[in-house]
Amino acid sequence: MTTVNVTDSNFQALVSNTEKPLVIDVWAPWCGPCKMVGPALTNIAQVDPERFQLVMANMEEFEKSADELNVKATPTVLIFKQGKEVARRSGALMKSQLEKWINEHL
Amino acid sequence: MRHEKLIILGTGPAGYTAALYASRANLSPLLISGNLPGGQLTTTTDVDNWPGGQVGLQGGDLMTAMQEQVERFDTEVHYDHIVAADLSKRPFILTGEQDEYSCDALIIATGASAKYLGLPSEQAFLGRGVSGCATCDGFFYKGKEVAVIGGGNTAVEEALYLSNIAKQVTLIHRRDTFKSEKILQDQLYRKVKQGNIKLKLNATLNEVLGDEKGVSAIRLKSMIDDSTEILELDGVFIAIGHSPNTGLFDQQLKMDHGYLTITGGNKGNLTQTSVDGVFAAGDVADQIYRQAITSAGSGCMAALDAEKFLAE
Repeated sequence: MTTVNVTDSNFQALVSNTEKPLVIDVWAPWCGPCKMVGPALTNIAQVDPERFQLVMANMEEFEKSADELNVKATPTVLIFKQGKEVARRSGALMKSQLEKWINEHL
Repeated sequence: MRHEKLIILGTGPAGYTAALYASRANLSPLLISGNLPGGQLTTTTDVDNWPGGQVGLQGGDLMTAMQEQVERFDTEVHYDHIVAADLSKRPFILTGEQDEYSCDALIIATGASAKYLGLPSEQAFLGRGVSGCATCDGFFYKGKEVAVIGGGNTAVEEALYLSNIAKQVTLIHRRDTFKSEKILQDQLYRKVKQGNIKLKLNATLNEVLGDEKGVSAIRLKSMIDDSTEILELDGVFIAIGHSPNTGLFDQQLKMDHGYLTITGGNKGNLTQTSVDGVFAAGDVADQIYRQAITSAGSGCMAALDAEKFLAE
C-alpha cells in the first residue's frame, strides 16, 4: 500500500508509529487544485515506495488536527520526519515542483 | 513521443467544448489537463449564468459533467502539464511534465490564472492566511474575520460566499464603484445592509501582517490621501483578476498584453493564432468577455477551424 488515509482519530498514532518520513496531503473534496496535487503525489510515491509514506488527510475528517497543525489552506502538503514537521507548502503545485521540494527535505 | 492529429491544451469550458466537437468529427483529440483540471470554474461555487443550468449548479459539478461528456465520445483526457512547446515547424512538439507529444494541429485553451498583488508579505503568508481561492479555503475561517481584495465578479462572489461562513467579511476595493454584474452588486449591498459584509472603498492592501502562526492583520492604504490603517483579521482573500497562461508561447505566437492574438472577424478561421494550425479559445485569447459560455463558444469554433485545417 503506497498511500494511507488518516483522520483526527488516528493521526497522532500514525505520526508516532511510522519510522519513514511522512508526506501528508491535506485535501478537501470541494477543492479543485487538490485534484491535481493528490495524483501527482501518488505518482511520486510509487517510484520508490520505501522512501516515504504518503498520507492523505481529508479535511472532512481532519478538522481538529488541521487546526492543531495551523493548516489554513487546501491543498497543504506537510513533510514530517521523526514525528516533527520539517516543511510545508500550500496551493496548486505541479508534479515537478513537488518532486523537487520533497527531494530537498527528505 | 506520442503523435496525435489534434491536441487540445486545457480543461476549462473552452478545452472541453473543443474536445466535444473534435471527437464528434472523428478527430480523436488528446486533451491535456494542465495543472488545474477543470479550470477556474472548479474554484467557484454557484454558476447561475450557464444557460439551462439547474438551480444551485456548482462549478465543479459542471466541469465533471463536461469531462464525462467528452469521454463518452472517446476523447482521451491526459493528466499532464505542458512546460515547453516548439511551434516553429509541423508537427508541433509539446513537452509535458510526464510525456512528450507531437501533433498536426493544436488548440490552446490554457485559460488564465488568479493574479496576486506581488507584495513580499502576501507571498510569505500564502497558505497561512492569504488565499487565492475562497471555495478552497473558506472552510478554515468559520466564525473568523476575513477580507477580500478586489472589485470584479470574483471578488464580490468570494465576499458573498465567505459571508455565509465567516463572522465578518470586509471587501476592500481600490475604486468607489464595482465592476461586477449588477445582480451580484444587489446581493452585495443587501449583505452590507444586513451587516455581514463591510466595504472599504478607495483603499488598497499595503501589507499583510502576522507571525509564525499566520495572518493577524492587514495594513490598508487610502487611495485618496495615502493614510494607512490596520485591520485585524484571520485571513485575506486576493481576487484582483486573472492573467493569461501564455508564458509557454512567448516569442512563438503573437500576443497582445499577454493574450494570444487570433484572426477574429467574420470570414471564418477566426480562432487561428499567428501560426497556421495553432488555434486559441477561451480566456487565453480573450481579455474582454471571459465567461464560461463565451469560452465554450470559442472552443467550438476552434474545433471547427482545426477540423477544416486538418482536412485541407
